[in-house]
Amino acid sequence: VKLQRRKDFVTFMLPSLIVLILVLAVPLCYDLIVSFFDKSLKHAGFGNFIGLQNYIEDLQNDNFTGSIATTWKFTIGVVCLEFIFGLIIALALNSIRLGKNLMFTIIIIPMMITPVAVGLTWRLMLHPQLGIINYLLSFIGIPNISWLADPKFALGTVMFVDIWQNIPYMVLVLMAGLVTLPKEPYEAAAIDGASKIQSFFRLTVPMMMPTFSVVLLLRSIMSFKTYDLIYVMTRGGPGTATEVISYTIYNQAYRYLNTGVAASMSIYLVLMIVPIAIFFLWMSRNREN
Amino acid sequence: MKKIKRTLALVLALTFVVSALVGCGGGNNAGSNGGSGDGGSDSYEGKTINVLLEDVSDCTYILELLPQFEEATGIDVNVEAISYSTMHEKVAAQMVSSTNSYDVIIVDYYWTGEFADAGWMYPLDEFIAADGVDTSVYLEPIMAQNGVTDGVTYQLPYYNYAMCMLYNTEIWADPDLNAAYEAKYGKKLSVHDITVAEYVQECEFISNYYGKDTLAGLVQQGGRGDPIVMEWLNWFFGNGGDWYDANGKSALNSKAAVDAITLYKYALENASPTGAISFNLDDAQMMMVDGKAASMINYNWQLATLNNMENSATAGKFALAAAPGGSANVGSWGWAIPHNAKDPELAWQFIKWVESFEIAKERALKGGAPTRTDVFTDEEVLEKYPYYADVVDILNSGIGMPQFKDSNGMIEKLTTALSEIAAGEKDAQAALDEVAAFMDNM
Repeated sequence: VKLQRRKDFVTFMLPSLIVLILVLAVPLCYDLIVSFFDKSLKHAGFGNFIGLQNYIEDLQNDNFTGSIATTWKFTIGVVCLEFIFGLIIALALNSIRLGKNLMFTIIIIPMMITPVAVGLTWRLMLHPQLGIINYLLSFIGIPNISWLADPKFALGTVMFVDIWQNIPYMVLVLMAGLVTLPKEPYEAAAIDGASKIQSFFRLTVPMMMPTFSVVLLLRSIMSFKTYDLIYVMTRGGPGTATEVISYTIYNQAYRYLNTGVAASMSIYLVLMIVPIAIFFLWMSRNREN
Repeated sequence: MKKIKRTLALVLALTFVVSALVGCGGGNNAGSNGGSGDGGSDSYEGKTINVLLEDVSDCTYILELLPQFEEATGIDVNVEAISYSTMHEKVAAQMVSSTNSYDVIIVDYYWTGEFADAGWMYPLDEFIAADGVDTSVYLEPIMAQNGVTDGVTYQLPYYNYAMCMLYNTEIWADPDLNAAYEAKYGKKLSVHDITVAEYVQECEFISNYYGKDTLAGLVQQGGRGDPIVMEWLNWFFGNGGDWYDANGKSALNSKAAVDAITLYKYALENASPTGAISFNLDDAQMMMVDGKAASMINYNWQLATLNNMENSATAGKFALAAAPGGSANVGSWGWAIPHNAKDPELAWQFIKWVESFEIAKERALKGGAPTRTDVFTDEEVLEKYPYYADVVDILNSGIGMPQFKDSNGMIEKLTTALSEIAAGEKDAQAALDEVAAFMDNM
């Protein structure tokens, strides 16, 4: 029996393991190796082994450290707001019957548009001189606002566009979680005289915790990697007001052609994401236990 | 039976060898025809090349003329026209693979040093010599940055983008505006022979006169990336600056540079429309077409675009003058064959055709920006575009890009610094000191 089990393990697990190693481990290991060399895209080969020099220089690079701070601000801001608004919309949609499908279809439209198209469309709408947003605001006496040109507004504006596009994702996942919740606990709570707010905090939130963990984890990872929206809307400007870590990595790889530096910065990005993933997975498992 | 088998095998082997030899002969024949420049359509019939171009007006003119090439040579040409912002990464990614998707690429003037250092361009000297192509017809400053590098011809110039002042003649000639300006400064508005500071003063006056969000004196393209650098270089050169000082050190942190960015920032805040710090080429063009800006420092080929814009109330009202300070940023593009191109011979046929006098002239007549002196001085071209005479002066008096190996990285460093200064994030001198140190370290 043991031998059969081993055979089954090899038969069923080995293909998956090989795919996982090829898709995940090999690129990651390659990136790690490259990060210890002064590799340039201009020349074939790895270049010279320089140990941790890339990592040390990354931390001395103002653009990189600044972009880490901006990435955190961006991620925390968009994930929190998307979660709050997404949950409100999901709860509202879950409680209505008439027109639910129509509302749901309308809400998920932004998610179906590519970030580049979203960025370009919003860039035109937010144009300080020719955009419709400032035009409409002028009717209530608000003068032209430089949504993407003023360092005070630029990051907030890009975050708003990201939130607009990704709330549907939150709604989609949270709705999927809400419809699977059992009805009996709610009926029992209602008989016991619990209010809707009490039911929400005592029943919905605990039962939805695994879904919350997954959706927060996935959106956090996606937000950490945000690149296309920044590239299309601001290219990290004005100054470095909207420069996120993915854009800095892109610049190092394709503008400066410093593949080694870009690789070490990517490792820093992975190191930022891994603890978050562990935290959410731990939270989810802890709750289930 | 054995004998029959042996004979059959011998016949088959002979047939194979003969057919292979015939095949080789055919290939060589096609190559030699192409090389000598008289390749008939038969030699290239059915072959295809991929050409990467920037999606600008010069690209449109080539697309219009392309059927001539395809008909003459039988070569099908796939043109991929993309926006500037994605070009460098696209080209760089192709260069490191074993074969290139593109047979012909175009190279911006500040990529030349980097591409040559990386060995990404195929030498053209043999093709040039075999076909007797005369490269002396190209304007010298352009050939120096998009032609010969370290004694090897890697490119033939494609189009120039010498920068200049483009202005709305109706606004600058407005009698009421001029009277008001004269009352304040004792002279009329002028676009000729003015310093950078005088230009800013005039533009600020126009912006205050009309309201800068109604009609601004100038529209800058201060967006991070290529736009702010290309534009600021005119302010820097116009202020007497240059890339290097007398000791061969970077002069990007000189007084002329600091003064230039200080004036540039002042103009962004006081003379340009709100939000110009995020504008790119398209934004600036739209503001001019919409009649919301009186002038801009931009590429000379924009004049034809602005004046020929369909359904525009401002079409035909624009003229060109030398950039303030008299020394402009002289940019250009060149044609090149990637080092890993599948068939350089075929690619050369296209470059040879597109840069022939006849096609270069046709492109110029459509509004293209020439690089050949014989096109610039052609009577028919000058009759249609008299300002080309001024463009030649701008090209000869302007400053191009010295070729250094990490030029693209240096421009990226400069654009970040300029954007940080313009956004008020960094002190001008400190930020430019960093750029100069970076340039000196290369």
